[in-house]
Amino acid sequence: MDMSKKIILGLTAVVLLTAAVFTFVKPSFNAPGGEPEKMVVKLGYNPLPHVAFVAKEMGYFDEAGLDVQLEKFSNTNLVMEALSRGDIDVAAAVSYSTLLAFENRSPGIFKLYEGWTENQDTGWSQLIVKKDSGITSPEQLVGKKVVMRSGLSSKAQGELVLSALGLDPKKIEFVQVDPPLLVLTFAKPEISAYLDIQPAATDIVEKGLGTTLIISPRAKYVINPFPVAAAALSVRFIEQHPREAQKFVQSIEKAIGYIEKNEQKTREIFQKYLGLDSAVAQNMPLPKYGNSKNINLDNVNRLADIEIKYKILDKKPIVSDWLYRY
Amino acid sequence: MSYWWKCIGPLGLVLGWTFFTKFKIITPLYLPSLSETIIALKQIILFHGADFWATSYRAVLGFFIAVFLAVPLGVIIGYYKKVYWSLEFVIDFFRSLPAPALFPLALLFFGIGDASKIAVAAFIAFWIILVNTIHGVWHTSQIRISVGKVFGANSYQSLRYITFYDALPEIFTGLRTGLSLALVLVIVAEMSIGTKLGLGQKIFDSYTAYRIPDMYGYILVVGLLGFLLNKIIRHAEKYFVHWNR
Repeated sequence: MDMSKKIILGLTAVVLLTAAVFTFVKPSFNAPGGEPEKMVVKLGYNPLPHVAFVAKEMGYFDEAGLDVQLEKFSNTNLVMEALSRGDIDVAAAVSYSTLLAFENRSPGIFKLYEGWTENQDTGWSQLIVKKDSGITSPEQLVGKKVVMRSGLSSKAQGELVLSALGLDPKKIEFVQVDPPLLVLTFAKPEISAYLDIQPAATDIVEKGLGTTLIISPRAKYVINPFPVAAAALSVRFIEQHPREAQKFVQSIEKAIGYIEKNEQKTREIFQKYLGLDSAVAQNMPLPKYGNSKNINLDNVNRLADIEIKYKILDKKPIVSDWLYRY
Repeated sequence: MSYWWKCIGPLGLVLGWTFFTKFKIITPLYLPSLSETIIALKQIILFHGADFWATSYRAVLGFFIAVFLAVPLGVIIGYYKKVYWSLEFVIDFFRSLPAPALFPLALLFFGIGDASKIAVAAFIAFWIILVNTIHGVWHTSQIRISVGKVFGANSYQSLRYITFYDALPEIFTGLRTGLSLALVLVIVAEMSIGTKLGLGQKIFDSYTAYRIPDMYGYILVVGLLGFLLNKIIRHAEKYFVHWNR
């Protein structure tokens, strides 16, 4: 056997051995003292500040005997698809627009256990203008370009805000980009304004690129309070593990109570879990969280009506059965 | 006879699609029925032709920019080995870059309009075409070059009339791959950077609103566009490289 064949055979053996180790050898993280194994709950989330981060960091899940494993997804659609496939048990920080569209395509898959809303003074959404643009009123946006995240819902909400301000949305161009490109796009000279949500809004202001013209335009001009996002348990998980589902939600409710009393520590937790810039984490408005009893389904229905009007939804989903109760 | 054989693939696709959706083997969330998709496709063809043309324009323009830069440069780099050795690292580095990583750069340099999408497509296609052109030049028949020299051909004539023609089959292989990649990149850029018109943007919008039949309709249109562009380049290849049939 010549040298090159030996090298190829050796490399093949190393690759196969590595593959076998990763495939068959499962690492064990159990405590050596014979502590009972915790129930694994897989939670998928959209990268936005979420109560589960606080519950995990404060050890509430551990106390409930749950090993909650967090899995980050790049957008809310992917989170819901993972929930539908059974890859995850919990979907966190999913926009109501996504939930409405998902319910139409795949009804009865989830139950909401927590949600957050935007009030008129929350500042979760903002209309920001370029710092040196000289724009001091919304009327000056006519003929200008406004950046926002991609998606039909963002566009529809933007159009509603502009219409409510007495402007013709057709005279203002929306530039829609992926969330990671929002700040970069705003910095381009051809862009005059930003109409979208956190944390990019605070990032723009903190970097000195823009100044806020209107706080919470969605709550002021679309729906008040505006239903921002929610978190859902899969119905399959609730049916198979009712006790664990209840314990999970109780841990979340405990974390909501903690957030209300410990804003500074909450900001530090969000910074740690989302990798936010410290200035953004310190100055970003925090969402107003509530459990399923606080979710206002009437406003969710109003959002559905808007999305039907804008032909985003082809029919109105039934939301009355959405809430998780224990 | 050959036409019947060509029908088997598409027919199998249609039958498979119908089978999987009819018996709900795949959930409608991921795969809508064929009839729903055809209705959506009809709507797209009737009312969204502008998206088709916007994407085609960006992909084709990006491709042609790449061709006009990469082919002459590839011939020169391939012909003069010392030039190749000095540029080898640069070529290998840039052609290994994952295209989506270039979106923020494209935004910075070319702004939010068509230019950034065309630039990304041109950039990716450029390296593929360049490398294929260089390899084509390297595979030129040395006998023909020697014969050319015997008949008094100078360096330019040898490059222009022997090397270039010998390299053409491999150049066309690069063109086919480059065009496909240019289309892929334009679609991804439209999804990421955003645009008013464009098939990529429409696929993303349909996806976020879970209008799955629409999404498949747009995907079929992209597939048809890719097929059409590939056919055009095949015909061009048959015309320009007629000796290689």
